[in-house]
Amino acid sequence: MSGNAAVPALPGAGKRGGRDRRWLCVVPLYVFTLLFVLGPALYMVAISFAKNTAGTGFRWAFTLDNFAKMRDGVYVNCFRESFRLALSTTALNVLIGYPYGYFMGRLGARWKRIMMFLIMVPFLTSSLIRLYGWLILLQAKGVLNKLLLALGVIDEPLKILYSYPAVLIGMVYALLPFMILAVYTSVEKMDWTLVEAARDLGATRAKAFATITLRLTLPGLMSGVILTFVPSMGLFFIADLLGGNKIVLVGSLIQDQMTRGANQPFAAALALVLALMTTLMLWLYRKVTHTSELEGMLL
Amino acid sequence: MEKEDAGVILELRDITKSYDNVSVLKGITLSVREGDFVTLLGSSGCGKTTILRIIAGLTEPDGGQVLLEGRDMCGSPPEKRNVNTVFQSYALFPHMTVFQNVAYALKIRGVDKREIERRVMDSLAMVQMEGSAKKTPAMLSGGQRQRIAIARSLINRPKVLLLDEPLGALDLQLRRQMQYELKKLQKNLGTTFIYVTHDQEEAINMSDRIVLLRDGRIEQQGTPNEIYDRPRTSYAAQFVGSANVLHGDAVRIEDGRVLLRSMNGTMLARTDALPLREGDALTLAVRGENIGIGREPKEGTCVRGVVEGNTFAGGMLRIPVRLEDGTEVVITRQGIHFDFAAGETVYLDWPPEAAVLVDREAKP
Repeated sequence: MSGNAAVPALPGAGKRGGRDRRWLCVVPLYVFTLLFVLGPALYMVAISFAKNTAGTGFRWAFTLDNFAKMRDGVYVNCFRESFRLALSTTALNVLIGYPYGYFMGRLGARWKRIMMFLIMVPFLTSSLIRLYGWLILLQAKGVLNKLLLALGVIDEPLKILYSYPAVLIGMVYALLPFMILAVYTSVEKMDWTLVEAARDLGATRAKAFATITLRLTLPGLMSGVILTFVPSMGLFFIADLLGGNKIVLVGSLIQDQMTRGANQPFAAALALVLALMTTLMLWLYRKVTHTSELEGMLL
Repeated sequence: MEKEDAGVILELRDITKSYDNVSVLKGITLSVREGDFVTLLGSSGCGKTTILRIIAGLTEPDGGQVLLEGRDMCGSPPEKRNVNTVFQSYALFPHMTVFQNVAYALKIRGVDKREIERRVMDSLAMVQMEGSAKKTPAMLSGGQRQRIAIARSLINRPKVLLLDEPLGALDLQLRRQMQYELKKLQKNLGTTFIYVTHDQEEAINMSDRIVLLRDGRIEQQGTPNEIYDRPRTSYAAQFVGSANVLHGDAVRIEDGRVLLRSMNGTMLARTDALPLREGDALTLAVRGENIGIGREPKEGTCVRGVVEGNTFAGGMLRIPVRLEDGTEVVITRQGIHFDFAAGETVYLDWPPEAAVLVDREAKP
């Protein structure tokens, strides 16, 4: 901070008086991050190596037991299930969200507003209430089954609720807006003259899409993938509600260990492993798709 | 029209186009000879860019035909036309290097890698940009991007190159230099250029033929000299070379010249064998450099006005003179010397061959 002594002062610089204290402005930021982000994270890491005691507490002592416990088939399965669901959710979101966001970005200003409104409407109600809506739709004597029975498509009610598909539907439904908006934002920014230039140079519609449009909207798709994959690893109440108790995700497991199970060190270890695995997946994704050099990245 | 139909490469027949019920092109008929540098000249909104887009296949006309080498291009997508475009915004692909941009057209056609390498480097050399092959468009200046856009559009060796105000974003000095280089490039390659601009100087400097557009119609077409010397309408006279337009009634017609009278005085103009009668209301166009100025009236043929001042720009002195009826006539002179003060009453005259009658067709 004081290494500026040899540098001649610029005209007017002295008027502010004394040393440059601008660095003080960022101090609150660092304090905040330290207290509310880094601190709790380190605390969690520390707890994950602590020993569980009977009741709710834990005892400070370095142990790897909490991690060793995860090798149990039940927990491995739980992680596998979580990843499977997160990946399927993300994949479906890409398949539905990209075309939606793309066509929305190409609409006229009026229709853009209407579509945007339709996406935003669900956010006006609590996500829990919206999930109960799905319950009503999907249950054995629910709206969907009644409709399909009446149409003669099926002879007996489908058992969708409390199954893997129901959870998947709920997850896709909850996270789709994030994918759509991320894709829409990058499609909106597209310079369509570039596509015309590609066509002019001899590219067919499909070729121009693949080499220009897709490539330039990849940052949006990338953001969408991150915005849906990361939360879907941790969302547990959707699985709890729509999956009954058949589908146990890492998220539910952590919650369970924190509360009923009263094993905070194990919960911390689970959370740590989950965070590390999610980061690893994102790193792999970036490696495979070569999108790390693209602008507009979230990570 | 020296060689009618000889080597016509592109023909537009009665092209019409409307956007949201607003008619943009109202019947454009045009033929372009192979190897010509043709400029579509007009102010913004005259439809010149729409014509380019229709030729390129990026916009479908409502009516009319586009014939490229005699073949009707109707419904043929842009990638099937042997025509390339230099876009106003350059439209370089930001996620590709200069090399990849220029190579794009070859790569999607699956041209052999070594062949691509050779042709791209040749193309870059043509615009003196060999050293920038590995850069991305964001690292280049406006003038350099322009060169890359030209190199990219010429790599397919198109029959016709369309250029949409390609120099519009460059500063004056660079513009002048690029005008010269573009013209040289066009001469060397022998490619037909169709060039869109609103800048009359650019059009005069570069073109073999100028097509002057106004409100979706062709106002006049011809060589730069034809349009400059024999504008057919007052619009053409004013747009190309900013001529002065004056009105008067024909009082005497003889020896290919006509004497006009107005409240400003009397004027002479050449008749160009137009059918005229005494008493006709006529319009003439005369260029500022051809107008003489004096303190005493010349016998019979001069108009009277008051000097309003003078401004010096681009090596030329512009002297606006207000006539009796309120019309402003601008006289131009080389250099900065001018003997008349603002407010002084002067008499203007010009040789009859310097004044051309315009707007004859428009009158019934």
